[in-house]
Amino acid sequence: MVLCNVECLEKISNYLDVSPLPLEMQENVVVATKRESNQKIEGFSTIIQSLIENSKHSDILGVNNETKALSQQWLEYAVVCINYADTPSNAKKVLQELNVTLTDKTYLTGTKKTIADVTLYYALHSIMRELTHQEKAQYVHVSRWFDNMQQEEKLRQQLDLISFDLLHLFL
Amino acid sequence: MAIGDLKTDKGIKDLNSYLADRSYIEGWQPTQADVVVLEALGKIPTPSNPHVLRWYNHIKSYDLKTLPGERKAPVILSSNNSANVTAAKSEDNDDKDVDLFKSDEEEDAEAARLREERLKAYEEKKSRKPAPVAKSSIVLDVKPWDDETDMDAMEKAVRSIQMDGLVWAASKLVAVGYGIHKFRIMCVIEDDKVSVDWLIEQIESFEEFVQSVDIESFNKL
Repeated sequence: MVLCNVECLEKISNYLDVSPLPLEMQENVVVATKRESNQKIEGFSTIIQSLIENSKHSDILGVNNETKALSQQWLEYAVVCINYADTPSNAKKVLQELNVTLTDKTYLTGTKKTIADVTLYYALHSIMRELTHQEKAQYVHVSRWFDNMQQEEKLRQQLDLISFDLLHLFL
Repeated sequence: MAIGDLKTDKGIKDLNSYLADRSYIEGWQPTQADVVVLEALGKIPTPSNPHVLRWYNHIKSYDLKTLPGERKAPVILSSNNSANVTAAKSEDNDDKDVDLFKSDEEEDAEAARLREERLKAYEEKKSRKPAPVAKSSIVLDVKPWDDETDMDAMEKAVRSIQMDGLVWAASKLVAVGYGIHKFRIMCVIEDDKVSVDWLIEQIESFEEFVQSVDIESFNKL
Protein backbone atom coordinates (compact mmCIF):
# COMPACT_ATOMS: atom_id res chain seq x y z
CA MET A 1 0.00 0.00 0.00
CA VAL A 2 1.45 3.37 -0.95
CA LEU A 3 -0.17 6.73 -0.39
CA CYS A 4 0.55 8.46 -3.70
CA ASN A 5 -1.83 6.18 -5.52
CA VAL A 6 -4.36 6.09 -8.32
CA GLU A 7 -7.13 7.39 -6.09
CA CYS A 8 -5.05 10.42 -5.17
CA LEU A 9 -4.35 11.20 -8.83
CA GLU A 10 -8.03 10.86 -9.73
CA LYS A 11 -8.93 13.40 -7.06
CA ILE A 12 -6.29 15.78 -8.39
CA SER A 13 -7.63 15.44 -11.94
CA ASN A 14 -11.11 16.23 -10.64
CA TYR A 15 -9.80 19.26 -8.85
CA LEU A 16 -8.02 20.49 -11.97
CA ASP A 17 -11.15 19.93 -14.10
CA VAL A 18 -9.41 17.52 -16.44
CA SER A 19 -10.71 14.10 -17.36
CA PRO A 20 -8.60 11.53 -15.56
CA LEU A 21 -6.17 9.53 -17.64
CA PRO A 22 -6.46 5.75 -17.54
CA LEU A 23 -4.26 4.82 -14.63
CA GLU A 24 -2.77 1.60 -13.36
CA MET A 25 -0.24 0.55 -10.74
CA GLN A 26 2.86 -1.26 -11.86
CA GLU A 27 5.04 -2.31 -8.93
CA ASN A 28 4.38 0.77 -6.79
CA VAL A 29 4.72 3.12 -9.77
CA VAL A 30 1.64 4.76 -11.23
CA VAL A 31 1.46 4.60 -14.99
CA ALA A 32 -0.90 6.72 -17.07
CA THR A 33 -1.66 6.33 -20.73
CA LYS A 34 -2.25 9.42 -22.85
CA ARG A 35 -5.39 9.08 -24.92
CA GLU A 36 -4.35 10.64 -28.22
CA SER A 37 -0.87 9.25 -28.57
CA ASN A 38 -1.20 6.08 -26.49
CA GLN A 39 2.07 7.22 -24.95
CA LYS A 40 2.80 6.04 -21.42
CA ILE A 41 3.68 8.46 -18.63
CA GLU A 42 5.36 6.95 -15.61
CA GLY A 43 5.61 8.36 -12.14
CA PHE A 44 3.36 10.26 -9.79
CA SER A 45 4.91 13.70 -10.10
CA THR A 46 5.25 13.52 -13.89
CA ILE A 47 1.60 12.59 -14.25
CA ILE A 48 0.53 15.50 -12.07
CA GLN A 49 2.57 17.90 -14.16
CA SER A 50 1.08 16.62 -17.39
CA LEU A 51 -2.40 16.94 -15.81
CA ILE A 52 -1.65 20.59 -15.06
CA GLU A 53 -0.45 21.14 -18.62
CA ASN A 54 -3.81 19.93 -19.90
CA SER A 55 -5.80 21.98 -17.42
CA LYS A 56 -6.73 25.64 -17.37
CA HIS A 57 -4.98 26.13 -14.04
CA SER A 58 -1.38 26.45 -15.18
CA ASP A 59 -0.64 28.92 -12.38
CA ILE A 60 -1.29 26.30 -9.71
CA LEU A 61 2.27 25.07 -10.22
CA GLY A 62 3.47 28.41 -8.88
CA VAL A 63 3.45 32.02 -10.04
CA ASN A 64 7.17 32.58 -10.27
CA ASN A 65 10.23 30.44 -10.84
CA GLU A 66 10.95 30.08 -7.15
CA THR A 67 7.52 28.77 -6.20
CA LYS A 68 7.51 26.56 -9.31
CA ALA A 69 10.76 24.97 -8.23
CA LEU A 70 9.51 24.62 -4.66
CA SER A 71 6.23 22.99 -5.64
CA GLN A 72 8.06 20.52 -7.87
CA GLN A 73 10.38 19.66 -5.02
CA TRP A 74 7.37 19.06 -2.79
CA LEU A 75 5.92 16.72 -5.41
CA GLU A 76 9.17 14.78 -5.34
CA TYR A 77 9.07 14.79 -1.55
CA ALA A 78 5.56 13.34 -1.78
CA VAL A 79 6.80 10.47 -3.93
CA VAL A 80 9.95 9.80 -1.94
CA CYS A 81 8.73 10.27 1.64
CA ILE A 82 4.98 10.69 2.06
CA ASN A 83 4.39 7.75 -0.25
CA TYR A 84 5.62 5.44 2.48
CA ALA A 85 4.05 7.26 5.41
CA ASP A 86 1.48 4.49 5.81
CA THR A 87 3.61 3.04 8.62
CA PRO A 88 3.40 4.93 11.94
CA SER A 89 7.12 5.65 12.22
CA ASN A 90 7.35 7.11 8.71
CA ALA A 91 4.19 9.10 9.24
CA LYS A 92 5.66 10.59 12.40
CA LYS A 93 8.81 11.64 10.57
CA VAL A 94 6.89 13.20 7.70
CA LEU A 95 4.59 15.10 10.06
CA GLN A 96 7.55 16.41 12.03
CA GLU A 97 9.27 17.64 8.88
CA LEU A 98 6.11 19.27 7.60
CA ASN A 99 5.47 20.85 10.96
CA VAL A 100 8.87 22.54 10.86
CA THR A 101 8.33 23.73 7.29
CA LEU A 102 4.89 25.14 7.98
CA THR A 103 5.98 27.00 11.12
CA ASP A 104 6.54 30.25 9.26
CA LYS A 105 4.44 29.64 6.17
CA THR A 106 0.73 29.57 5.46
CA TYR A 107 1.12 27.32 2.44
CA LEU A 108 3.98 24.95 1.65
CA THR A 109 5.60 27.22 -0.90
CA GLY A 110 4.85 30.47 0.90
CA THR A 111 1.76 32.60 0.62
CA LYS A 112 -0.03 31.06 -2.38
CA LYS A 113 -1.72 27.70 -2.67
CA THR A 114 0.03 25.48 -5.19
CA ILE A 115 -0.29 21.96 -6.53
CA ALA A 116 2.02 20.87 -3.72
CA ASP A 117 -0.62 21.78 -1.12
CA VAL A 118 -3.35 20.06 -3.12
CA THR A 119 -1.33 16.88 -3.58
CA LEU A 120 -0.20 16.68 0.02
CA TYR A 121 -3.76 17.27 1.19
CA TYR A 122 -4.97 14.19 -0.67
CA ALA A 123 -1.94 12.10 0.23
CA LEU A 124 -2.11 12.96 3.93
CA HIS A 125 -5.87 12.77 4.40
CA SER A 126 -5.84 9.15 5.54
CA ILE A 127 -3.06 9.92 8.04
CA MET A 128 -4.64 13.06 9.46
CA ARG A 129 -7.94 11.24 9.93
CA GLU A 130 -6.30 8.75 12.29
CA LEU A 131 -4.44 11.29 14.46
CA THR A 132 -5.46 11.71 18.08
CA HIS A 133 -6.21 15.17 19.44
CA GLN A 134 -2.90 15.20 21.25
CA GLU A 135 -1.05 14.51 18.01
CA LYS A 136 -3.03 17.20 16.21
CA ALA A 137 -1.91 19.64 18.89
CA GLN A 138 1.65 18.38 18.65
CA TYR A 139 1.75 19.03 14.90
CA VAL A 140 -0.17 22.27 15.26
CA HIS A 141 1.27 23.86 12.12
CA VAL A 142 0.33 20.89 9.96
CA SER A 143 -3.13 20.92 11.56
CA ARG A 144 -3.61 24.59 10.84
CA TRP A 145 -2.53 24.16 7.22
CA PHE A 146 -4.69 21.07 6.75
CA ASP A 147 -7.71 22.67 8.39
CA ASN A 148 -7.39 25.68 6.13
CA MET A 149 -7.01 23.49 3.03
CA GLN A 150 -9.99 21.29 3.73
CA GLN A 151 -12.43 24.20 3.88
CA GLU A 152 -12.45 24.43 0.08
CA GLU A 153 -15.31 22.21 -1.04
CA LYS A 154 -14.00 21.71 -4.53
CA LEU A 155 -10.79 20.35 -3.08
CA ARG A 156 -12.42 18.20 -0.44
CA GLN A 157 -14.72 16.36 -2.85
CA GLN A 158 -16.12 13.30 -1.04
CA LEU A 159 -13.50 13.26 1.71
CA ASP A 160 -14.76 13.91 5.21
CA LEU A 161 -14.08 17.09 7.09
CA ILE A 162 -11.64 16.38 9.89
CA SER A 163 -12.22 18.16 13.16
CA PHE A 164 -9.31 20.25 14.38
CA ASP A 165 -11.11 21.81 17.29
CA LEU A 166 -8.39 21.69 19.91
CA LEU A 167 -10.29 23.83 22.35
CA HIS A 168 -11.19 21.08 24.78
CA LEU A 169 -7.52 20.23 25.21
CA PHE A 170 -6.98 23.56 26.88
CA LEU A 171 -10.01 23.62 29.17
CA MET B 1 -10.66 34.56 23.19
CA ALA B 2 -10.26 38.27 23.52
CA ILE B 3 -7.07 40.01 22.57
CA GLY B 4 -6.02 43.09 24.42
CA ASP B 5 -4.19 46.12 23.17
CA LEU B 6 -1.88 45.12 20.33
CA LYS B 7 0.54 47.86 21.32
CA THR B 8 1.39 45.89 24.46
CA ASP B 9 3.50 42.76 24.60
CA LYS B 10 0.68 40.82 26.20
CA GLY B 11 -1.68 41.73 23.38
CA ILE B 12 0.78 40.42 20.81
CA LYS B 13 1.32 37.27 22.84
CA ASP B 14 -2.44 36.67 22.90
CA LEU B 15 -2.58 37.18 19.16
CA ASN B 16 0.30 34.74 18.80
CA SER B 17 -1.53 31.97 20.60
CA TYR B 18 -4.74 32.83 18.76
CA LEU B 19 -3.00 32.41 15.41
CA ALA B 20 -1.21 29.19 16.37
CA ASP B 21 -3.92 27.01 14.85
CA ARG B 22 -5.51 29.56 12.53
CA SER B 23 -4.38 30.85 9.17
CA TYR B 24 -6.54 33.97 9.23
CA ILE B 25 -8.20 36.17 11.84
CA GLU B 26 -11.69 35.19 10.70
CA GLY B 27 -12.77 32.27 8.56
CA TRP B 28 -10.70 30.50 5.96
CA GLN B 29 -9.61 33.29 3.67
CA PRO B 30 -8.01 36.71 4.03
CA THR B 31 -10.57 39.42 4.84
CA GLN B 32 -10.63 43.02 5.93
CA ALA B 33 -10.54 41.69 9.49
CA ASP B 34 -6.93 40.70 8.81
CA VAL B 35 -6.23 44.17 7.47
CA VAL B 36 -7.69 45.83 10.57
CA VAL B 37 -5.55 43.72 12.89
CA LEU B 38 -2.51 44.28 10.67
CA GLU B 39 -2.97 48.03 10.94
CA ALA B 40 -3.61 47.83 14.67
CA LEU B 41 -0.34 45.96 14.97
CA GLY B 42 1.47 48.70 13.10
CA LYS B 43 4.95 47.21 13.17
CA ILE B 44 6.64 44.03 12.01
CA PRO B 45 6.27 41.39 14.75
CA THR B 46 9.39 39.96 16.34
CA PRO B 47 10.51 36.37 15.75
CA SER B 48 9.59 35.58 19.36
CA ASN B 49 5.99 35.53 18.16
CA PRO B 50 6.39 33.15 15.21
CA HIS B 51 2.67 32.72 14.50
CA VAL B 52 2.07 36.45 14.27
CA LEU B 53 5.11 36.81 12.02
CA ARG B 54 3.93 34.06 9.66
CA TRP B 55 0.46 35.55 9.48
CA TYR B 56 1.91 39.04 8.99
CA ASN B 57 4.06 37.94 6.05
CA HIS B 58 1.15 36.07 4.54
CA ILE B 59 -1.30 38.98 4.72
CA LYS B 60 1.37 41.41 3.48
CA SER B 61 1.58 39.36 0.28
CA TYR B 62 -1.97 40.39 -0.68
CA ASP B 63 -3.17 43.67 -2.06
CA LEU B 64 -4.80 44.83 1.16
CA LYS B 65 -7.50 46.95 -0.48
CA THR B 66 -8.91 44.14 -2.61
CA LEU B 67 -9.58 41.74 0.24
CA PRO B 68 -13.26 40.91 0.79
CA GLY B 69 -15.34 41.65 3.85
CA GLU B 70 -16.44 44.70 5.71
CA ARG B 71 -13.97 47.02 7.39
CA LYS B 72 -14.75 46.64 11.05
CA ALA B 73 -12.85 45.63 14.10
CA PRO B 74 -12.98 41.83 14.32
CA VAL B 75 -14.79 40.18 17.21
CA ILE B 76 -11.63 39.09 18.96
CA LEU B 77 -10.33 42.64 19.24
CA SER B 78 -13.49 44.29 20.46
CA SER B 79 -14.91 42.11 23.18
CA ASN B 80 -14.50 44.94 25.70
CA ASN B 81 -16.59 47.26 23.57
CA SER B 82 -20.24 46.29 23.88
CA ALA B 83 -21.45 48.30 20.87
CA ASN B 84 -19.03 46.57 18.58
CA VAL B 85 -19.88 43.19 19.95
CA THR B 86 -23.56 43.49 19.15
CA ALA B 87 -22.76 44.68 15.64
CA ALA B 88 -20.43 41.77 15.17
CA LYS B 89 -22.99 39.39 16.59
CA SER B 90 -25.58 40.16 13.94
CA GLU B 91 -22.89 39.69 11.31
CA ASP B 92 -21.95 36.38 12.74
CA ASN B 93 -25.42 34.92 12.43
CA ASP B 94 -25.00 33.99 8.73
CA ASP B 95 -22.09 31.68 9.39
CA LYS B 96 -23.03 30.47 12.79
CA ASP B 97 -22.33 26.83 11.97
CA VAL B 98 -18.74 27.62 11.08
CA ASP B 99 -18.06 30.08 13.84
CA LEU B 100 -19.38 28.06 16.74
CA PHE B 101 -16.34 28.94 18.78
CA LYS B 102 -16.64 32.67 18.47
CA SER B 103 -20.37 33.04 18.95
CA ASP B 104 -20.06 30.96 22.07
CA GLU B 105 -17.43 33.33 23.32
CA GLU B 106 -19.69 36.35 23.00
CA GLU B 107 -22.73 34.85 24.64
CA ASP B 108 -20.56 33.67 27.45
CA ALA B 109 -18.59 36.88 27.84
CA GLU B 110 -20.27 37.50 31.17
CA ALA B 111 -19.70 33.94 32.32
CA ALA B 112 -16.10 34.09 31.14
CA ARG B 113 -15.52 37.27 33.12
CA LEU B 114 -16.99 35.64 36.20
CA ARG B 115 -14.81 32.60 35.70
CA GLU B 116 -11.73 34.77 35.23
CA GLU B 117 -12.49 36.51 38.50
CA ARG B 118 -12.94 33.25 40.34
CA LEU B 119 -9.77 31.90 38.79
CA LYS B 120 -7.91 34.97 39.92
CA ALA B 121 -9.27 34.67 43.45
CA TYR B 122 -8.29 31.02 43.46
CA GLU B 123 -4.79 31.78 42.20
CA GLU B 124 -4.38 34.37 44.92
CA LYS B 125 -5.52 31.92 47.55
CA LYS B 126 -3.17 29.33 46.17
CA SER B 127 -0.20 31.66 46.09
CA ARG B 128 -0.65 32.46 49.77
CA LYS B 129 -0.50 28.80 50.68
CA PRO B 130 2.42 27.41 48.71
CA ALA B 131 2.06 23.80 47.69
CA PRO B 132 4.75 21.43 48.94
CA VAL B 133 7.60 21.37 46.46
CA ALA B 134 8.94 18.01 45.41
CA LYS B 135 12.70 17.96 45.92
CA SER B 136 15.36 15.37 45.37
CA SER B 137 18.83 15.01 46.72
CA ILE B 138 21.32 13.63 44.24
CA VAL B 139 24.91 12.54 44.57
CA LEU B 140 26.76 12.74 41.28
CA ASP B 141 30.07 11.09 40.40
CA VAL B 142 32.01 13.13 37.87
CA LYS B 143 34.89 11.22 36.32
CA PRO B 144 37.91 12.99 34.84
CA TRP B 145 39.90 11.85 31.81
CA ASP B 146 43.15 10.99 33.64
CA ASP B 147 45.28 11.84 36.67
CA GLU B 148 46.42 15.12 35.06
CA THR B 149 42.95 16.64 34.90
CA ASP B 150 42.73 19.80 37.00
CA MET B 151 40.20 18.78 39.66
CA ASP B 152 39.87 22.29 41.11
CA ALA B 153 38.97 23.71 37.71
CA MET B 154 36.50 20.89 37.30
CA GLU B 155 34.82 21.70 40.58
CA LYS B 156 34.58 25.36 39.61
CA ALA B 157 33.10 24.43 36.25
CA VAL B 158 30.48 22.14 37.80
CA ARG B 159 29.52 24.68 40.44
CA SER B 160 29.23 27.34 37.75
CA ILE B 161 25.99 25.72 36.59
CA GLN B 162 23.40 27.90 38.27
CA MET B 163 19.67 27.84 37.90
CA ASP B 164 16.45 28.28 39.79
CA GLY B 165 15.71 25.23 41.89
CA LEU B 166 19.27 23.90 41.93
CA VAL B 167 21.46 24.05 45.04
CA TRP B 168 24.98 22.63 45.15
CA ALA B 169 26.12 21.11 48.45
CA ALA B 170 29.19 19.38 49.79
CA SER B 171 31.72 17.74 47.52
CA LYS B 172 34.85 15.65 47.90
CA LEU B 173 37.40 13.77 45.88
CA VAL B 174 37.30 10.00 46.00
CA ALA B 175 40.37 8.02 45.01
CA VAL B 176 39.80 5.51 42.26
CA GLY B 177 43.35 4.23 41.96
CA TYR B 178 46.54 4.97 40.04
CA GLY B 179 46.40 8.53 41.32
CA ILE B 180 43.05 9.17 39.69
CA HIS B 181 40.29 10.76 41.72
CA LYS B 182 36.67 11.14 40.92
CA PHE B 183 34.77 14.16 42.01
CA ARG B 184 31.69 13.44 44.12
CA ILE B 185 29.22 16.27 44.64
CA MET B 186 25.86 16.49 46.28
CA CYS B 187 23.05 18.72 45.11
CA VAL B 188 19.40 19.34 45.83
CA ILE B 189 16.99 19.96 42.98
CA GLU B 190 13.35 20.88 42.75
CA ASP B 191 11.82 18.21 40.55
CA ASP B 192 9.55 20.60 38.66
CA LYS B 193 12.29 23.04 37.79
CA VAL B 194 15.39 20.97 37.12
CA SER B 195 15.71 17.79 35.11
CA VAL B 196 18.50 15.42 36.13
CA ASP B 197 19.18 14.47 32.51
CA TRP B 198 19.60 18.13 31.67
CA LEU B 199 21.95 18.61 34.60
CA ILE B 200 24.12 15.66 33.60
CA GLU B 201 24.21 16.89 30.01
CA GLN B 202 25.36 20.30 31.24
CA ILE B 203 28.16 18.78 33.30
CA GLU B 204 29.24 16.51 30.47
CA SER B 205 29.47 19.55 28.21
CA PHE B 206 32.70 20.52 30.04
CA GLU B 207 34.48 18.12 27.73
CA GLU B 208 37.98 19.22 28.62
CA PHE B 209 37.59 17.93 32.20
CA VAL B 210 34.71 15.52 32.28
CA GLN B 211 34.75 12.05 30.83
CA SER B 212 31.42 10.88 32.20
CA VAL B 213 28.85 11.57 34.90
CA ASP B 214 27.06 8.90 36.93
CA ILE B 215 24.30 9.17 39.46
CA GLU B 216 25.69 7.76 42.71
CA SER B 217 22.45 8.03 44.63
CA PHE B 218 19.08 9.63 44.08
CA ASN B 219 16.72 10.27 46.99
CA LYS B 220 13.39 11.99 47.03
CA LEU B 221 13.34 14.47 49.89
